Amino acid sequence: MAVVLALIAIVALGAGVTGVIIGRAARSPSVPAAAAGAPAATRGEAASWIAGQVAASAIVACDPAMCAALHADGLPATRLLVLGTATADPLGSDVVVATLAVRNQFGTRLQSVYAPVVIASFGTGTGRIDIRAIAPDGTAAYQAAVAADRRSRISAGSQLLRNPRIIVAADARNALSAGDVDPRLLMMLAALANEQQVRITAFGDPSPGASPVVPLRSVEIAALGPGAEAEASLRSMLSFIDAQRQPFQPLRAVLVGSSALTVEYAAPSPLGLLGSP
Amino acid sequence: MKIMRFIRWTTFLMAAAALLLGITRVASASTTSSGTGWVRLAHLSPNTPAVDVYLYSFGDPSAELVLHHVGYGTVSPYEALAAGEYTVAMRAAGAAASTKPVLSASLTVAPGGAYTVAGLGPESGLRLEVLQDQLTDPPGKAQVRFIQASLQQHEVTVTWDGKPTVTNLAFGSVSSYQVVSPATATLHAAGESESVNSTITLAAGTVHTVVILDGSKALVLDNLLDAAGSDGVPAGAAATGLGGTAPRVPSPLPWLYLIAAGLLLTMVGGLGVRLVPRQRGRHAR
Repeated sequence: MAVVLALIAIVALGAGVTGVIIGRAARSPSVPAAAAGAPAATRGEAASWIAGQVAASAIVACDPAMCAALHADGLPATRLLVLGTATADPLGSDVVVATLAVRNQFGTRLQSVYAPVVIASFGTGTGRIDIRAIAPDGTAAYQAAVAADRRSRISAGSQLLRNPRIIVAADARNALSAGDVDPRLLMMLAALANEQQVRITAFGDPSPGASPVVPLRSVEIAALGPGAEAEASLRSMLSFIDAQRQPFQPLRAVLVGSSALTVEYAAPSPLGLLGSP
Repeated sequence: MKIMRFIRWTTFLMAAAALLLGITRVASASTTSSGTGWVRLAHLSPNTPAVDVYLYSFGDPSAELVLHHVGYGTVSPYEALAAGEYTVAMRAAGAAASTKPVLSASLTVAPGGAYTVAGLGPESGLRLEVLQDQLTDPPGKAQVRFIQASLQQHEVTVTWDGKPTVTNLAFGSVSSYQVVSPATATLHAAGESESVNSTITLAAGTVHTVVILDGSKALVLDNLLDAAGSDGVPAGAAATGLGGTAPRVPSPLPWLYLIAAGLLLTMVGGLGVRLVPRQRGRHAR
């Protein structure tokens, strides 16, 4: 019992400290936007993108000003890892928001050790804010996993292109054969094609400034067949997608009128979902 | 007479063509077989209700594999599947038709590869794990691995022939294959409060997976024969494309029938050709 109470106290204390830091950062004139190196507009853009695109389970490491902006955008304190000046590294988080303050704090180790890949970027110059995926086992292991995942996506994409129930527009075809498509989309498309014909019009990625190794996380599927039949087909796909659980539950899946369905997965794309070819 | 000769030669040529075609197609079927792997499904999550399991091929919708009502402790026979990528999905057995399967894992079937797709862990943390199965042994040896699927005993230690083989294997985990000397001996598995003995033969050239299960009263051991012999084919594997639940690799039987037909026609045609000179001779006399 005493142990449980102690654990609760520690968790509460931790959450309280995080809240106080975020609250101070949000209110205190001692941490102006300029000190963090990013214009408020850029910080707002980055915060909105994270709130809208990063997986709800992901922990975000950020400097106090950025954490305050994220908190204001709806991220709970439990998802924020505030990087104080004494914080040794951003490990323990899933993504790190690399503002000038964070870049200065960790130097070249940020890219070379902790978080080699940019999944989105906002602004320019010193005011630039990069959102980076954390490499929990180090850069070498992460880069190896990225390369292996790409090989798996190329193999899986090529197989989908041979699937007689999948019709693919030219640009989307290139993305599939180049291994540019998120593995969650590939697996979901294979399952959908088992039920019915699927016409893919485009893959996309709402991640400005992302590294070329970051896969495309959204797909647009067009209706096939005449009016009501086409809509019924899209609704059937939507109901399949809505039934999925993590990590296959998308961030968004919506019908665009009665002619198309868009599906979008959260960032960052998971590695290792597909087997080795 | 010319008409008869024409008929005989046509018969002979058709027979030869049929034979040739048969051989060619069998060669082709063999090539297809080399692009085949084997998959079996195992439900090893004690408190998870029975499930239907679906394997969706990325490249060939007709290569779907469906297994219905797979309950705890069930391990399906190996099913042959064309090499390639598959999405694995599950659905509660007996769920309404409108209930959609839930994507769970992916599986890459390599030519000649054998896999166990196992549902492991408790229901709250159920995960599908793809295990690569061994099909061959070092000369004169046997291999065995263990899957700890007992929720009642969180950790299990296994001894084989009195020697510790696996120590403190946690619930939901899988040991690596261990090479052992062939023998018939006692396999002893012991958890915190239960244990079980079973006399098991591990013959040379065989590969086994022993699953430790919760029984109604005590632990139960399920000794699965993964492979026997050096042919690189899993034990009890459904013949390529025959039996099972869904269309898979094309069966070689039609081509064997074609060969048989070709041989028969050849024999008939050949007999006809051989008979002709004799008849001619008789007529000549």
